[in-house]
Amino acid sequence: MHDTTALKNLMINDSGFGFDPSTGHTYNLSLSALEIVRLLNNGADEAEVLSFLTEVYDVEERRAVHDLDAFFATLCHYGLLVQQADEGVEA
Amino acid sequence: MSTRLTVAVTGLHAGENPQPGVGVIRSLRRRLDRDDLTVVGLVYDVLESASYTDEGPDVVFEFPYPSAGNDAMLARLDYIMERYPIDILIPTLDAEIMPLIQLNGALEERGIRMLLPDADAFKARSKQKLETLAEDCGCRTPKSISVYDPQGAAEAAAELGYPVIIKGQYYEAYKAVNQADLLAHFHAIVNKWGAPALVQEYIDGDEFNVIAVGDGEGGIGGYCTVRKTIVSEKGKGYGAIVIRDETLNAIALRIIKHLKWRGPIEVEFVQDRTSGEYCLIEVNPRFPAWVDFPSTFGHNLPALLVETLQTGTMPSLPDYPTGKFFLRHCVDITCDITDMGKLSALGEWIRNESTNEEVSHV
Repeated sequence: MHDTTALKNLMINDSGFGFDPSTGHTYNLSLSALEIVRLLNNGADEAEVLSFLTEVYDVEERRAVHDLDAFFATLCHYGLLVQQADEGVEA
Repeated sequence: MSTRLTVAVTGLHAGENPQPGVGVIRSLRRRLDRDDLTVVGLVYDVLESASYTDEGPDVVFEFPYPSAGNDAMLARLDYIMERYPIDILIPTLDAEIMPLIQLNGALEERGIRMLLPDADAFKARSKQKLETLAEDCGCRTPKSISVYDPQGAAEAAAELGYPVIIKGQYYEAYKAVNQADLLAHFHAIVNKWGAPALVQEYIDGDEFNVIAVGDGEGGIGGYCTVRKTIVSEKGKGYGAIVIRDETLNAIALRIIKHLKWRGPIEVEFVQDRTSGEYCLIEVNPRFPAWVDFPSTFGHNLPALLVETLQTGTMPSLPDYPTGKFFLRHCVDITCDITDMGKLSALGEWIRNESTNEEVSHV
């Protein structure tokens, strides 16, 4: 689970140029990254984003999981996503 | 603001280390046209570049350095007042502020108004008192040590650990990575600005500045916050972008409230890259050189200052917009030796006034 508060604060145009008004940092998002950010900001969870990627981009699930993890790590690095502790671990 | 107004402004050098007076004049001209406003430039040197630009002051007078004493400043103002009765004086250089606080009463008697803090507030934001101020306002500040000689500087740096920042009491700050570096900067700074210099813990991170005009009772008329995007070798912001971070703004406004600051102020922070904490690094008792940038999107703080002094009431500006940024863009200006000759020989220069001061072979 991730906290998307900072991501929602990001101002983005249709070309994928993003501006964070709280830090002044700017970003360039690819079109697929832009779609992921829009999904997250509309409340989609990781499973829904994964499902979207495999359906729209015709990519193997294993590859999509890897790329999505890498993208989330990038967002976390820039402080746009915050990893939240898991609520519980299933046995 | 419809009656003709005469405003005197200092700090007209816009070279490598630009002074704020140029931006102050530009901002005032955005609000008042030349029929309504006469700008008197007070300069310490005939090479203060804005003296010669079309957008600069209407008249320029050489002015004694603050070190010449308050009587010399007052005598010069009296001379200028005979021809250009100044309504408002906006000092923009740190070293001018305390002498002018002391002269406030004498200037008021002459009809010159200023928006300045009281002496206690001015002293409370000095570099030497920054730790106390930060503690009182619940924010972090880099550890700083005042040093008066090379040995003291070396000992302070050894205590803090390299790299350190070494600062003059009024201007200039350099990063020193070793003792040789430190001592070279120490000598340069003390020769220029006098002792003490300040050796400060170095904090790695982005730099943020908050500009405001305080009402003297803890409130403000307007403010704007930027993150520096380009920093010159001298640590000056050559580019910055407007941001809104509520944590940072709350700290800055708390400091202004605590000081009960009256007049222009710039509060500088660095955000520790590791902890994310905002650390107070300096409080400047004047407008910064980038003062005209907010004026370009309607956040005109020099005009607010003038309006406050004219009406006795400080207006309140609406919230500033984010996403605007500036890039400092240097241009070469062409000047005529005849103009410099007038300023140098007579100590004054009136734009478009013809005199017999042509410089020629004799």
